[in-house]
Amino acid sequence: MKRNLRNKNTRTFEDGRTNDEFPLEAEAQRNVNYIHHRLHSPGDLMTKELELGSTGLTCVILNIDGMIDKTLIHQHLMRPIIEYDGPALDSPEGSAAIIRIKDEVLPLEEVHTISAMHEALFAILSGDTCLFMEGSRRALVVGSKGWESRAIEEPQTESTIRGPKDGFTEDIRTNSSLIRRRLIDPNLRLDSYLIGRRSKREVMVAYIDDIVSPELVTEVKRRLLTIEIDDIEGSGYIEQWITDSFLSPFPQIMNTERPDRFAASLLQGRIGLIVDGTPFQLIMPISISDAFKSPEDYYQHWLISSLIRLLRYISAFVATFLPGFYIALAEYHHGMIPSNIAFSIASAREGVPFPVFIEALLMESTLEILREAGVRLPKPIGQTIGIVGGLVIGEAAVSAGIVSPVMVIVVAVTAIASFTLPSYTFGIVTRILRFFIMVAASVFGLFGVILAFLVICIHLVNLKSFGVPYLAPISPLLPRDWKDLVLRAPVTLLRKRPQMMQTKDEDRMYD
Amino acid sequence: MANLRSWKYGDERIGGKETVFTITSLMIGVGILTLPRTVAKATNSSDGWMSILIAGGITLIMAWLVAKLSTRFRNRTFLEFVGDKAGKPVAMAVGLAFFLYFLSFTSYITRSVAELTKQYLFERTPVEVVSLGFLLVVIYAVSGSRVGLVRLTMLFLPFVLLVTGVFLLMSVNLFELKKLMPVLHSDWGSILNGVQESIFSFLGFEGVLFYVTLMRKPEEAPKLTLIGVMIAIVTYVSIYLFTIAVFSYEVTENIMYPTIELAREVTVPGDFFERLESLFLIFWLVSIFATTSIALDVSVQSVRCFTKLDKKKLLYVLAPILYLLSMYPQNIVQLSNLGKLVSYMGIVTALVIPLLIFLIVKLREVMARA
Repeated sequence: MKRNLRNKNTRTFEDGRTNDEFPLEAEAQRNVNYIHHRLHSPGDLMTKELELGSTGLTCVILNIDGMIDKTLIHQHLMRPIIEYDGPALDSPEGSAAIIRIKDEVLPLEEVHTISAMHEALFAILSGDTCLFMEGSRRALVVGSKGWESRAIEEPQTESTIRGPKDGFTEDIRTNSSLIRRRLIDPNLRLDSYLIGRRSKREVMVAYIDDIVSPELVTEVKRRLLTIEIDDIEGSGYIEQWITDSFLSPFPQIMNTERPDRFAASLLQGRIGLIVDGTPFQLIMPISISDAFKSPEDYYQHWLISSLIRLLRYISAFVATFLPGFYIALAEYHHGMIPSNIAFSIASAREGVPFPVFIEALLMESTLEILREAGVRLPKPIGQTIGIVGGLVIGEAAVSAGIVSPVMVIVVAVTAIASFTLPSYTFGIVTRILRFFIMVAASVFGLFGVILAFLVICIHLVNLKSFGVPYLAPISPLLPRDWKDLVLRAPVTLLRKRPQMMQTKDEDRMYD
Repeated sequence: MANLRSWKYGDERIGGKETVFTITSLMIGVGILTLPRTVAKATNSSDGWMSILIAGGITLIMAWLVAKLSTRFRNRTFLEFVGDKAGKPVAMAVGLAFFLYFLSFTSYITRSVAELTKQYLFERTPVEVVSLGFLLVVIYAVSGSRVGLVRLTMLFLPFVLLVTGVFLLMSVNLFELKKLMPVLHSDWGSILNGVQESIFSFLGFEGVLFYVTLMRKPEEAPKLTLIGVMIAIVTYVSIYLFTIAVFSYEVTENIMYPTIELAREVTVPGDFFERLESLFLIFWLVSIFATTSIALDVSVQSVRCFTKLDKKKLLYVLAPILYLLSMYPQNIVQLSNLGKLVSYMGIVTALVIPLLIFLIVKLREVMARA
């Protein structure tokens, strides 16, 4: 499967680049010379000439230092070739000899033959070892990838209290093994694709064959194969390329560092993409309800999880609407605030030189600047920024009379509320929408807030993630999925997979 | 199992619940805010609920007729159907009538919303600006997909009805049964006056003719339409009863927006929120918004038998007309005159046209058999 796709994805380049798609020569040295010439003989390109035992047949091994497993090459490739004491291989021309080496000499499982130059180049550049043999028009590719990679660590962006602590790494094999270890199911599919015009990166489409809706798989693969770009640097490129609407601030594809979330999503009938070189893997399709779900919800007692989810919904609402609401009430509708609170707000605003909207804008922008600075700085200094920014500037601004204490409270509550969302990407959405609503509130008061809310709702009902309505299961109404919306029903009652995923196999449990 | 699925992958159709709420939403517009006043004034007694019930009954029959008609479309749109049965000119006339009605309906609501917000939310902001903001959002909604519009209604209306129910429940302690007494002492004349007034609030159900083509199961349209109309009847009757029982009919006659004033009377335990009527109005604005968008969508759909312009371009053309039309009335009196005019146009599209088409269809069937 993989090799077919590899061939299909290799393109001829009309833009002046050399076309490497030609068959290998019988003379090993000429092939080696071409590769050296093609790659400009880099310092890390290792070439080793060997003789097959005492038969006098020359073999040349090519690979790139630092990308290979040296022990494997020494023990299982070079040694068997040097120590070969079998009969002389009778037909050095053609492929018979090289196939015998592959089948009888090398104690390795990941070996295959190739016959074209571009395949050899690709293999060498991706960390495999190429073996050319004098007189053979074929070469062997030995899977020898082995490079330094980060160990499995706890995910930084999605921490949980109860739940597994392993996170994805940058290495696609580690990542796929993390999924395979969780889903020991013969129906788990990990279809590999090589994506990219110049640099080809492996992308795995992960799904469970007898659960997922077949149209969905077709659609995801179709979109994936439209990608025409030099290199997909991380999963973000893929996400933005295959997303339904790039104008929408709402993410229509979820990214996660957590293998447990990834595996659970596959079981719900979703499709995952494992991308080489990034710890952030993609899950699709999603709906807005997924913004409020954390894998931890399923590990804890249902009552706790349901209440925490409710809390998240409320905080998302607060994070988006509170400043706008405050502006509307303080600028237009004093009457709606209970009189004693209205008095204290008014007295706190005594002497503040700006209208409420400017005051809010000042504070919110300061907060965003602090947040961004905190992310960029090294961790210990980041905390200092928090203290200096949050406490010192806030306090000083109030006592200098630039902002009112109520505004500081509003902004602080908003900021904290926006951190409760389990997904960082959705947290950003609340930040974007907040400013939009603040502007609307300053123009039209509560009416403006409602108009802004309507605009957001209109946008959401028209939005889709891979054909799944973004507001499902709320609208269209899918009552079965409400068991896992705000309420997280007890595990024994979650008998069905999400209806919005239109799975082939609907039952999660046997009756 | 497959036929039990209410939503299919990538499906752009609407199901039963969506249809029900679309119909209810089309009927419940700004009328609900003034209904208790107009009915109380017309009947001049506390028996207005009977008028509403009778009007509701008439609406049920008409809605059933309309929906029954719509089951015969077979993947054609309403106007294509009329064109096939009665000829192109008739279809064009019908399309024009629907277009004019729903367009002026949209402008009327837009202006009413502006007046409402002026009264309850802010006094200084000019109506022109408020209407413009509202209209722009409505146009944004209509320029999206039609299924999206229906789903929007599905999102809002149940919530708004729930909130209304909560408000009514909270005013239970102000409910005085004796204000509803004496029952059944009005004469038929005044009851019929009330019927005439309240039937205006039920108009709009004919919009279902334009949504049947989107339905997954068009054959269910009659049943669903009846449910939608019944939700509207229940809402109207309960709001009317509560308003009268809280204010008595003499007072209600003189309140501009009795339904909103009802919310003013409600107090939250602990007095945390004050002036709940603004909050209540805001919830209703959401529902009114859905009504307006669907109405504009119907009007856009019905004008499409005249022009091949796509929906977005059509909206660009219609938007200024809508805006100017909604700005035409100079004061509240003129606005309510416009409302009257719109209502009479509604009688034509909701009652006269469907009946005529129904007769034509029946007649042709009889003639075909003979």
